[in-house]
Amino acid sequence: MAAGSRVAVAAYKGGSGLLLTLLYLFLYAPIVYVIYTSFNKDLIWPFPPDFTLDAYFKLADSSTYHEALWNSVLLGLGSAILCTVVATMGSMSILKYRSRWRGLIAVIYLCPLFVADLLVGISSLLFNRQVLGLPGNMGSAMIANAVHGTSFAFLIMIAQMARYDWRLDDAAMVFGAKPLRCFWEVTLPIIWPAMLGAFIISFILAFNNLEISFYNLGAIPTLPTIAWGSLRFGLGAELFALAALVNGVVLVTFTIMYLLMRYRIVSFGHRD
Amino acid sequence: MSEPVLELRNVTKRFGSVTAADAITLSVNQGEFFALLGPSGSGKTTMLRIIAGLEVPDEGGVFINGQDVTALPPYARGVGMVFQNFLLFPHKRVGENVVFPLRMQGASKAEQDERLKWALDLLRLDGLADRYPHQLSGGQQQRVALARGLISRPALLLLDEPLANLDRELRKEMEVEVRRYQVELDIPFIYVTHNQEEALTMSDRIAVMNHGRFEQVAPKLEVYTHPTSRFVAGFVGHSNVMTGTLAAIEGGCASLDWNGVTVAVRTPPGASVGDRVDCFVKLEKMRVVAPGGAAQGENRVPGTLRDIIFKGSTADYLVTLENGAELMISEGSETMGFQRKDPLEVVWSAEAGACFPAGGA
Repeated sequence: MAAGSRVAVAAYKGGSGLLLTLLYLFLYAPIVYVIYTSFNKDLIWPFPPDFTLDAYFKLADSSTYHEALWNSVLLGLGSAILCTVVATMGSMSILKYRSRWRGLIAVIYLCPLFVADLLVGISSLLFNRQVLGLPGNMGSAMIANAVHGTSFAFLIMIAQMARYDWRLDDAAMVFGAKPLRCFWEVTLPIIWPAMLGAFIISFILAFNNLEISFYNLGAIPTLPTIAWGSLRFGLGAELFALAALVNGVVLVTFTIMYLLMRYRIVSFGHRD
Repeated sequence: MSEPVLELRNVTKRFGSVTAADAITLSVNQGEFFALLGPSGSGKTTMLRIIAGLEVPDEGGVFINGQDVTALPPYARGVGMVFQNFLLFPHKRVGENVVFPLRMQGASKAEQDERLKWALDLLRLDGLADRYPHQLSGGQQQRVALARGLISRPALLLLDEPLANLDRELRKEMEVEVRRYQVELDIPFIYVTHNQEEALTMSDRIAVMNHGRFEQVAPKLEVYTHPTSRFVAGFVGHSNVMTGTLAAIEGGCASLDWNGVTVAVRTPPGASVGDRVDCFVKLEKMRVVAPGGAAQGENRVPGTLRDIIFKGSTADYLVTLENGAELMISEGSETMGFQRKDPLEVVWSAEAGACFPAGGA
């Protein structure tokens, strides 16, 4: 009886472990494959491995990619700042003022998530040009990318900030803090981890975006647009290196953030 | 007589169909400890928030030291406040928390340091200035909240159920302390609580609030001994309630038919024979004696002892009367050697009862 149940527990644990491994494989196999291939001579069939850094040297030499990287970073930063500011104001106003319409207001914030990138791209382009008379440029691409980014940022902010006690603002005001001072002294120091999370997610979204950026940037290259463009001329080695690097940076960033939080080197938010 | 520190004139505040403050008029003087006592939802916290400027009244005015502050935002009023749950800033150290009001006022660094030392000394917080709030005990957090409320020499201090989250022992201790600070500083404290013991222990004057109105505003002893409304009689102190019909009225004295037992009471103002009346008698105003035993009082009702609840210095006697009703009487615990089921008599004077027209519920 005891032995039987021990076997059952072992089987359950083993089964769960296998399922988890399969899940991770499903999520990461293609990415790991690209990273692995990027270090290989033969890009088409990289088995058995024959390691080289050629792809990375090619990438480092290509000035197109340098310019594109800079543009992508710029686009990501601009869009992420816009998203974070709008999402912070939105989530603060919904949580602080507790209007009876807050459910509807929140849903309207989230609706853009259900519009395809391609549509956001094309309609932003048309609207900006026909109605506003704006040319396609970095500014309009930042704004167009912020459409989805704001929804994601809002989602993160509202989940994190639901725990914020707005009576702290009352306390600050009674003790003489004007509204802006109150935000700076009390609200911001407590909610900044949520803002940072929103910023990082919206940065990555804009940085990696193809369709929206493509329609709004005109001739200005970003990493995704030139990667897509170069696909027409076959799979260049630089593409593998680029994909490996971008994924690598994201992975390393998140690992470091996790470790910092895990060991409380940086405390995200306050502890009660 | 000097000007009142705080004056409310006809303050009214509505939230939808609920009237949280209904034409409240009040003045509080220098050095007065004023308690706003009421059940939850009675509007007492709203009153406090109106005084602090966190709510704007729909009608009426708020005056602090004679100045009309009704339209001023909270940060321009110069009042101190101690919040329920303390509301210390979790990311700031104790010292930074306490000195916050002075920093907001733009006080010099020297003054900040001097006042901080004063506040930490006063509240016995020395050595804790570098801790974070979550590293403090409940009592320490409470004292930090008080220090923050007092540091900038406010015209008055508002306290919103500041002891509600402390355990019983600590609360008893803090009641004495809070009163001590108030006496020492001689500024008015306006203290909101639903706990009558806190109000009775600390305050000079009590306003009993219900449904956004003041039921009674009077020195605490008077509120306790001479309630002016049915609600106050039921809310302050512990009473036996006898509901019956007025059988006869002779001047100031009346007799109440309470389920077959005739009880002598003071005549409630404006009452006539046949009225339904609630008569409240505080537990300690009744005595239990052996049948025929000596005691002062017009009322003497026989009954049987059901149980004694020993409370240390006092004991509550539960007595079942012949009409089936039960009375609770608070006596010194050492008095008599009664046993359960002993026959005895409950005695009290007509003066001890406070009668009001019977409530619906």
